[in-house]
Amino acid sequence: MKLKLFASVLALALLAAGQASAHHSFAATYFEDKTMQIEGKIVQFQFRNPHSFIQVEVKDDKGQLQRWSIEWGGAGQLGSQGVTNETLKYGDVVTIIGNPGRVAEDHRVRMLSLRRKSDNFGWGQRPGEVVD
Amino acid sequence: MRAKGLRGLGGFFLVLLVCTPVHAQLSIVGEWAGRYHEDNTDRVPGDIQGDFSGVPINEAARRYAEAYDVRRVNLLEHQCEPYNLPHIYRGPLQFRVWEEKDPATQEVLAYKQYIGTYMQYRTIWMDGRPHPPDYAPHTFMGFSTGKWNGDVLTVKSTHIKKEFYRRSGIPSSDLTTVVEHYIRHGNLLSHVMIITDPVYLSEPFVQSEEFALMDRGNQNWLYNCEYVMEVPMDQTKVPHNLPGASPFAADFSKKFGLPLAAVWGGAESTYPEYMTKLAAGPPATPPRDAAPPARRANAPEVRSEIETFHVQGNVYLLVGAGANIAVQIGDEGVLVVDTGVVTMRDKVLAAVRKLSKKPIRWIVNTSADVDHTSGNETVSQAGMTVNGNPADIVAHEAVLARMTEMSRSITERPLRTFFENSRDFSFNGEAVFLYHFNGHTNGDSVVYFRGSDVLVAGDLFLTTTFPVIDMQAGGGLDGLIAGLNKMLEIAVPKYLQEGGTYVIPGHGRVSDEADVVEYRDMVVIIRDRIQDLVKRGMTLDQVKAARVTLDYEGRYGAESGTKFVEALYKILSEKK
Repeated sequence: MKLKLFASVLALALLAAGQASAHHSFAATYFEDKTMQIEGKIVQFQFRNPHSFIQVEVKDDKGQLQRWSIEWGGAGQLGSQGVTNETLKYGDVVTIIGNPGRVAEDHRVRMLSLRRKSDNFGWGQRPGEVVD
Repeated sequence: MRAKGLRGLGGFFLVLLVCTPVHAQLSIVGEWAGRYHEDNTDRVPGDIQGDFSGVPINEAARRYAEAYDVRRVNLLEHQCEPYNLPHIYRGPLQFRVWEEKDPATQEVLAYKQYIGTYMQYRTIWMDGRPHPPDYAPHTFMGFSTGKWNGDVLTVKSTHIKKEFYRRSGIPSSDLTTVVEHYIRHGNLLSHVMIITDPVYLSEPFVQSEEFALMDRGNQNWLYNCEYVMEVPMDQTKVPHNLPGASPFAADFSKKFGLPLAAVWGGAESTYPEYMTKLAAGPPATPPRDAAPPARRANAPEVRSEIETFHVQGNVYLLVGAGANIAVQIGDEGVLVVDTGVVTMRDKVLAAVRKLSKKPIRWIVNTSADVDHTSGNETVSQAGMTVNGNPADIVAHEAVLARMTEMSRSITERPLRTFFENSRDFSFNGEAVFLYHFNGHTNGDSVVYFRGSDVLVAGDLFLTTTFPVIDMQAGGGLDGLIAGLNKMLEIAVPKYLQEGGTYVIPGHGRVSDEADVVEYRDMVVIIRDRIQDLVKRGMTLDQVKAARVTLDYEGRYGAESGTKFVEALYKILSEKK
């Protein structure tokens, strides 16, 4: 019985992965062995395939606003985790931890976890909340 | 009474058996899900950068893969490109198969497939129809015909778009052909692919996968891809690694402790005997092919007869008169873009007349080249403007200047010229735009039929050779790239980056945005490579020796590559 359940979960994971992992290789885009944290205001939430993106405005060291592009899972994959296109909204202040992009001037991050300040909504802490 | 009943039942079954055709085939109908015990790490989590193992790649593929920067998929035109036929069955997927039957005979006309990964549809024709001509557009799933050999369904596919064998950047070309075998064993389906690619493989690449018949479907069949600006970046810059500068080339080799030469080894490294060679001491560097990949000859450009192909809307393509000819027809008359070589002019006119008996009102020349304009006089004289004159020939004024210099007859020359960057007018119920560029020559025009959604590129875009920058005729690199970018700006693909706006190249097959973006990427990449070498003070001979076009020579030919390099070197050296 346990084996059956495991097999079903595995099959489901494989099918979900089929639609999420098709876009590109993360290892070539991000430093998977490094993490960074940013805090800023969401200005756009692109809930879509092949991968969702969150555009976040972050103040840099000089106080200038810098746009960061946060790569998240595809709509299908996130949908199965309860994320919808209304989960995040313009103006939400969030703290994001992720892998930095290999090209610094791209200002991009692969999402590992997110925390919204206003209601403490979080993603990335529970099992299965990963981007692949 | 009971015996009679049994006899009746026996007779009934006999009739049923007789009704069953002797050639009944196994059914492959149903919903199939992949099993991933084979090559799991490659197929499910995805490949690691620098993994080129197990694929019979040639030197051109190595060069392409080394240059590939995965950030290229952030460009708008690349975001929604799906895996192509040789690639799609490798990843996690499920697919549905159903039959389309002839209602009169119940013979299978086609097997249809729906693949959940990207919501792709595919048809395998079983009715013996031929494959399309060489000038027909390509798609990511290609054109497929099938035949049962005993209990094995064998499928042959051509007209497949360029994509990759792996996401790490091993390219597959648009000259790839695939033979598949579908073999059913109960509720399992074996799928074997034999991939032949004259551009990037040194020998056929064989892959196999297993699929299990699903007892019940699931809900994961939908995938709406939408291209957006994912990361703010200049969409005309193409991310790539200069030769020898890939930061990931050795990642896979290091991670698994494999010799780099083996990972990049190509065909030789895919055979068991290679283990013996490795045991004796691995080669220090991957093998390097001495000769460029053999190039498959292009289809003849001048043919015995003109062939006609309906592109879409009001626009047709005429093939066989040298350069491609586009014909737009409608209630107001006929517009012809380019008129071909002199030897085919009468046949071109006959082909135009076959499409429409309405008056030929306009001719547009995309350049002054003789293979584009030598039928001008014949077609123009057979036409008539609303004022009763021969059909007007329209072109950028640089075309008239050049044809005058060439002492072409007055009846061949475009007398309706324009000097602004673009010109538009309405004809046959749709807007027609002419855009001028200094690319192939200083008088290039791209023609866009807005209603039909067809671009006619002239020699700014070719599918047969590298770009030709005719510097004596005022051609230029910036104009060439600007022209290609303009086409990308205009073109809007249908779902999954194929179809939508069609593009007729100056020479070669009907294309769409996905084909143009590959060509644009190639031009930018080769420009960047040469620019880098020029900055480092290299001579033309040194640049040629660096083989900067190697990864595309199997597709476009080494000879035209050399001329392209010479032109770029001259332009970029002068800019330095």
